[in-house]
Amino acid sequence: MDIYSSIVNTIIKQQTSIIGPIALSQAKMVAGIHFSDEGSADLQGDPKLVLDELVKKYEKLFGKASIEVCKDAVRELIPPVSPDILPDILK
Amino acid sequence: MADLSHNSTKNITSRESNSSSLEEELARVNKEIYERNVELTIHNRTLSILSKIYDIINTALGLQPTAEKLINAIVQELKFQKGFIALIDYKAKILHSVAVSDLNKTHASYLKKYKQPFTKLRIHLKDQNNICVVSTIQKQQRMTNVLYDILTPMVTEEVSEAISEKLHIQTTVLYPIVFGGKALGVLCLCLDKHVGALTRFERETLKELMELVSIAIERAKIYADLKRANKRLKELDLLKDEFVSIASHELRTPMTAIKSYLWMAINKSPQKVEQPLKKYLDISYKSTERLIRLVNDMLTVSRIERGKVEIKHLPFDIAETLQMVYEELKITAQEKHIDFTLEKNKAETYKIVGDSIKLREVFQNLVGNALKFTPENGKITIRILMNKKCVEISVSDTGSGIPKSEQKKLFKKFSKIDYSYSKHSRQPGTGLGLYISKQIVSLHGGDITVQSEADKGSTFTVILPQSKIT
Repeated sequence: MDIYSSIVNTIIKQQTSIIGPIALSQAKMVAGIHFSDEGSADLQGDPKLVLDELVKKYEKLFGKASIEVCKDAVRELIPPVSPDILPDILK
Repeated sequence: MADLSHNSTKNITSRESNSSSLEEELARVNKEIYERNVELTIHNRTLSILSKIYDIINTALGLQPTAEKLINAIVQELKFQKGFIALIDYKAKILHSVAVSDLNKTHASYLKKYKQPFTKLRIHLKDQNNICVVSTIQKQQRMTNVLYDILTPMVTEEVSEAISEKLHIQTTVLYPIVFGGKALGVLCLCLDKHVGALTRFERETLKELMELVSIAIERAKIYADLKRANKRLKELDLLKDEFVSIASHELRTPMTAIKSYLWMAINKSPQKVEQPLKKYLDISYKSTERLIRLVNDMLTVSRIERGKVEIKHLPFDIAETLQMVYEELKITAQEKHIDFTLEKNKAETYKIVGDSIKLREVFQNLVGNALKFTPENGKITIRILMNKKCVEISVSDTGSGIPKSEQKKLFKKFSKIDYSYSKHSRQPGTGLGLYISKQIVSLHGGDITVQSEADKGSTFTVILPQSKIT
């Protein structure tokens, strides 16, 4: 799994722990995110843009707090993710 | 018509405005619910870790195991690179590592190359270059991006940098462990990121954890101190027993010689011993007898407490033992004009399994006490009762009785009852007789109880279980 897919999956998992299945249904609406039969997300197109789109989707529904949750999800990734590869909204 | 159209447009605008404000309200509520859910999720995760820490506090015993379990739980749960707990040894004036989180094999063998600087961390409290010491002494949270600040003077700056790179340590955060205002040590957590990159959950958990870690360490220290003190007490107790045993043996021989010579001076002197010399010799003889009794009792207590008393389990008739005790002490009872009786069914045998010699000592003691504390013209009765479950032997007297408050002291070592119960006794006891009796009966699986009322007399009952009876 590439780093962006890993970030997206972590964010969806974290959001699901807070708001439940709605986090997944919102992610499914983002163009460029496809889910495998096992429920794992794969990205198509520009991954940085797709990631940006997903965070903004959550922000639109749940406000600024959801961005902090996404940032925290990225911070918990091992090994740490370089801020250079992240969209501005997650920096 | 124009009016109608105007009204219709106005209605639509109003409906749109209402719908928009409703959407705004819904969005606001939605965000609020989300924020509350975030709070709850963070608290939930924090509580889950705290619960694990509580489990460690409640189950781990000893300082080292507690510290090791704590540091591993924190590092694993929060996914940090490494962590260790160092505590102050105030006597040696050093801060030394007591627990280090587990590492993978590669990292562990890498650190071995540098003589395990985390495990063997040992810094003098005067070494202000080491940030662990500074954080502990000043009781302040610290952090550093330079591992050398932590490991100095254990390793060189170059080695620190190499370790830092190998273990992916970017920042180390130090939390002082403080309990009741006293610095106990420091908890160091090594992260692979800057402290600003800690998540809200990590920050909140660490904040909550620190208090618990302090409690856990203090509790473990107290347990370790108690264990040490207990071990020392046991050693001292053993020494005391040995001393009592040796001293008693050494005392008994000369005391017996003194007693024999005093007896000879009183009874076998070529000249008649005149008063007041006879009186002085009599007092000396009785005091010597009492001392020998005390020494013997102390030896018995010492043997009992060291588990050196062996009880023979042989069948015998307890009624015969009581008859012997009765015959032996009947003369003393007659001298005091005491009505002394042994009540038993002559046709019945009272066979039990036990140590007849030791049980005889018990009844000698109980009847001896009754004789000592019963006034002239009083009454003492020994009764035997046997049923399917046990045999009960009671010794009743019409002495002064013992009030309830004093009864608790009776079976304790060197207990002296503070009551006129002893007013009829001319000879003070050693304060060990009832204690020894209780121990001997206990070794037979039985018990001694007392029923007494002030000024009405006492009944001591020995109960021996049927399981020991054939």
